Amino acid sequence: MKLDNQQIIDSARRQRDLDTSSMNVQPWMRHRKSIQVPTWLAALPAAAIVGFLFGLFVHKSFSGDTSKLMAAADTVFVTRQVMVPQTPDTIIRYVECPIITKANKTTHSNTASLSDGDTAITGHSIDQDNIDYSMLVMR
Amino acid sequence: MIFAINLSRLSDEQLMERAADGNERAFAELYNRYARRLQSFLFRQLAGDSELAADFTHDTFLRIFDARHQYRQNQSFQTWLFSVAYNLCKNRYRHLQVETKAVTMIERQPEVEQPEVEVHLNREELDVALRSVLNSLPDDDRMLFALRFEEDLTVAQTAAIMQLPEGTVKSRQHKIMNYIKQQLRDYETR
Repeated sequence: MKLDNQQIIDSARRQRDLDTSSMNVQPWMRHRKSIQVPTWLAALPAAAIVGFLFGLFVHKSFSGDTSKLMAAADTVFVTRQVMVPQTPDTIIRYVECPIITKANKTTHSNTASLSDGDTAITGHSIDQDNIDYSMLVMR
Repeated sequence: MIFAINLSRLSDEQLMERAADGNERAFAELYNRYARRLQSFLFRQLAGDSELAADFTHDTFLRIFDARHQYRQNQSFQTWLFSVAYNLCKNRYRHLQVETKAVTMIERQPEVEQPEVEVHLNREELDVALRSVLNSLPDDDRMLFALRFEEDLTVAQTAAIMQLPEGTVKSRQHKIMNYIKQQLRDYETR
């Protein structure tokens, strides 16, 4: 048969009518079929996952090797908590001062063996103390 | 006394004006008029995916409903409806990154309409052959053919929907027709 434009159009419309009659059309619904999840509800877990992954990446990148950290940052402030001992500048201590008394004859002089009335032999010349010093010479 | 208005007697544009004023029954009437036709059109544009065609139909009407206050008086409702559907399809094609098929072959077709082609196909065979040929067309050409010849829209309406100059629509439809004729002639020899 001779095929012209109209025959092609008629054939296309026959198929269109066939498709149209087989369509199962839903009644009009004003609302969307799918349940609408609020944006903030979806954003929360997404942000948590992104934060976790970022933390993991930073931990992997910088753990153990500080050279990478030094390359990435100009200045690194390390804050460490230090326990400072609480010592006052001046310690005031009250100490009892010892009482100094006059030296007793019995304790401080070698005249203990001397009998009362004898004079002390110290302060004399070696010629007068009656001691044989030759005995002290080493052989 | 309140007179019940027979909505089925109103034109598409009158119904759309009422819908824009908040009359939901008027919009439901438009849906009843066009939903089946649009779903069938989308079914053919979406490679026979009936579920997707139903979703897109619903989505098209929802978009129009949401934008009903932007409707301008005397604006063609059909053009608006098919524009939204066309854009949904286009987004879908872009998303799937479908390659345009046989573009070069259609580009090489002469703009002047070819005389009648002699084929030895009966009506049923012609229907089957034409469906196969239409499925092999590039997305935009299949869309243009459907709007122009299946949905019987004017050149001006088709141009407005596809955002093309009217001259481009005219020359393109000739090329598509010539390509289809050539393909149908080749179909016989397979």
